[in-house]
Amino acid sequence: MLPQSIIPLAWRNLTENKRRLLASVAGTAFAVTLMFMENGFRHAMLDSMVNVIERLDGQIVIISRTLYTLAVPYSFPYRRIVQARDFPEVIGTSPVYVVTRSGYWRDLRDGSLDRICVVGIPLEDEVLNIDEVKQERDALGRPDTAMADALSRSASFGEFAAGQVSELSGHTIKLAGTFKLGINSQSNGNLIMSDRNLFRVFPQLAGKTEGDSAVTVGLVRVRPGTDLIRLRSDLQAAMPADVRVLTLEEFIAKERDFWDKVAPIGTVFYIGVVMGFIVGCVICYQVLFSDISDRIGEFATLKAMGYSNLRLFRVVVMQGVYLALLGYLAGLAVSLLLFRWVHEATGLPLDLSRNDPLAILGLSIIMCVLSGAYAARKLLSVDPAQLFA
Amino acid sequence: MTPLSSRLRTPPLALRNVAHGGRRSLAAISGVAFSLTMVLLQLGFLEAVKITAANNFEQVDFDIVLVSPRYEQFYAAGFFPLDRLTQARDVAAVVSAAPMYATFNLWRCPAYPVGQSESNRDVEPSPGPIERWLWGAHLPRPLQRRELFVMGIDLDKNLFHEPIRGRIEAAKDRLRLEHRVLLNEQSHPDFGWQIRDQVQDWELGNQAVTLVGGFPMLRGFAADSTVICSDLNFLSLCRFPPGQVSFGFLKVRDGLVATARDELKARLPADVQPFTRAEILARETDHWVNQTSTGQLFAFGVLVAMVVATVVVYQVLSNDVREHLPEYATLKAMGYSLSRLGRVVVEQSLIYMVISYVFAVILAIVVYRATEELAGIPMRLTAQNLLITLFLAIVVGFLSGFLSLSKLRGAQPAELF
Repeated sequence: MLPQSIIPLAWRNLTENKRRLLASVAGTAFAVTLMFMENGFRHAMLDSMVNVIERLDGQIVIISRTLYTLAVPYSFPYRRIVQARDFPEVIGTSPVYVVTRSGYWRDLRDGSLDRICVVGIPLEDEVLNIDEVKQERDALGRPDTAMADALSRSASFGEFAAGQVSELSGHTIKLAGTFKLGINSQSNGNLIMSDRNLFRVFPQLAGKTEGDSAVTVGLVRVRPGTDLIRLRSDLQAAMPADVRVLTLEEFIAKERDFWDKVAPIGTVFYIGVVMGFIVGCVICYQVLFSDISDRIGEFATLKAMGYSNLRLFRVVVMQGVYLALLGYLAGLAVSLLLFRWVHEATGLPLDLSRNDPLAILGLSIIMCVLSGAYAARKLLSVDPAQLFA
Repeated sequence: MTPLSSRLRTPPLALRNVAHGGRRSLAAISGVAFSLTMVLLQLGFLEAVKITAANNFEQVDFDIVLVSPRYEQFYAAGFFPLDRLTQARDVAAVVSAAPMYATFNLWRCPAYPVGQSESNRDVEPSPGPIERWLWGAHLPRPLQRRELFVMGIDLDKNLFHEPIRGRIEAAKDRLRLEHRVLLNEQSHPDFGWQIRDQVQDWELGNQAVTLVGGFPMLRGFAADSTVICSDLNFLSLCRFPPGQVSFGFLKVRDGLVATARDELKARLPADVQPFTRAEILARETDHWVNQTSTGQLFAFGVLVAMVVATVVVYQVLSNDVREHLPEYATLKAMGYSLSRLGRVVVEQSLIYMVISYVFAVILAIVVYRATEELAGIPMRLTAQNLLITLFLAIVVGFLSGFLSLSKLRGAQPAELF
């Protein structure tokens, strides 16, 4: 009556016919793939929306109270981040300028203009965790230079390379090099410039005095060991209501939340995951049900031998668990290939490890156990006499 | 061709196999049906991208549109000198030219319950899609400023089709007054259309405005809401370069669209480009489907759903053949030829596919409605997508039926025992 004695029976039921096993696992694996894919697309979309924010080298950010997504950058005056320097826990502050709407890059191949996202940073501070940008700091300091994202959409901009000279919103710009950041549904390419160069291209951001310059994100670096939540609240209390102070994690969560829950696209992928789950349930049910039907004679014999309903039920459910595990492994393998393929085609960051693999495993097991339990109802009514029917 | 009488004498085995399968058939059908629903759903997502891409231009009555060389898509149109419209009117074939100004601007989204002040909470609650749907416009939320798309038009050159045209005409006199606007009735609930009776202090671009009515327009992936106002109000509410315009919508004499387009191209300077209606619609769809990651992800979704459906159908049908193997073996022993048995199998798989397809379409209607409600994007079952799915279902049914035949070949009458 111990589970160990049941395990081989469920396992052997499942693996007895190799071709059939292959078909069953393939069915389950594809349902798993479907869930992985929809969830993966959702994560890729969300990850790509926070690609710039995640590279910010700081612990606390100051943003305009109006800002609800970085894709619609609303700014606040530079003097707010100067105020933050009064706090003893703060080591340094830096402004980050983001232009998403008015930056146009001229494609060297055909002279067409395409919108590009431009990030401006002060070169004196460590602002962005991008190695290539740190290495090329001197080159970025020269007038009218920028670095371009090698992962930008090549159909819009061609291949970026160091030394290329083109035009950003009417100003001649020379590329000092490339870096790898990635694009998202709101921008097809990225440029990074020094704040001074940015002000030459977009003088409206500079403001009348330094204190008026239009900052999108104010980055605050704090002493190690500082209580971030407390400092964030203290900073908020000290600032006027036109800005909001958040920890970097809160800022990332807020940005993801907008695209996940408010914008339609996140919901669409949720529905995809749910549909994948339902398809998976139906497939598993189909597999387990036809298996029970085939072995109804054997199950009847077991019952005649004195096996209880519960025990037979457990055999079928265990069979479902094995099916889920095999299907999950196969689905994982297929998804890995698929993710690489989609990544190459769209440039979106598809990373399986960030894609709740355990949650999908959980869903796969729930899916198979549920459908196993439902299919096993047939066993309750099985009659040993059926053997000879 | 077998004579009718002998065909009637042969029992319709395929149909009976399905009918007698009971729960087994039901399981097979539901497996196939859900896979087909998945295909329909993914096609619907892609279709939604196409619908929202084309929708804006479909609301406007025009033959040729003038846009800036920087034109990317409807929501990022750029601008060109207003004078080009005057010059366009000189082209003989052009009947009329109407300007449209368009840009994004901030909208003051009222708090709910109304009157609650701006939130000072550090972290706001973030309800999920189901909660949002259940609460609808009555979801408790703080005051916020969100971006919407503003369109300014010359009220004497109403360029919209019905029903938007009528709404503008009805409110025309009031729209001439300072800072009067129309708000999209199909806005995201956060924008406050549903609770408009309780809200007085509307703001657009940090200036007070008065709501004088609404108009129905789909909202897509790019903008959560839209506002229409007069050109004068537009210029005073939104920051826009002086003397510039976003779109020039031209009407031309019947049959002269191509000539007019070529003449415009030749006559006007390079700071503006003319497109015919068909050209701009194709360009817009191409942009959203092929050039944004949104469209590309949904295209991949369609592909993967189709592969999954194929695998599931094959799995279901081959299972079914295996289960009936003893019966087939008996028939074989009785003298049925392999091709005759094969026909039974293929017929049976087609019956499965057709029944599943009908279920899938019914299910899809439900899932489409749910998506529309939860995500707020237009989901339509188009004839084309229905046909694509039916075609897929039949081809896969045939293939799986044929592939299962190999099993029949090996069916030995002795297996019966």
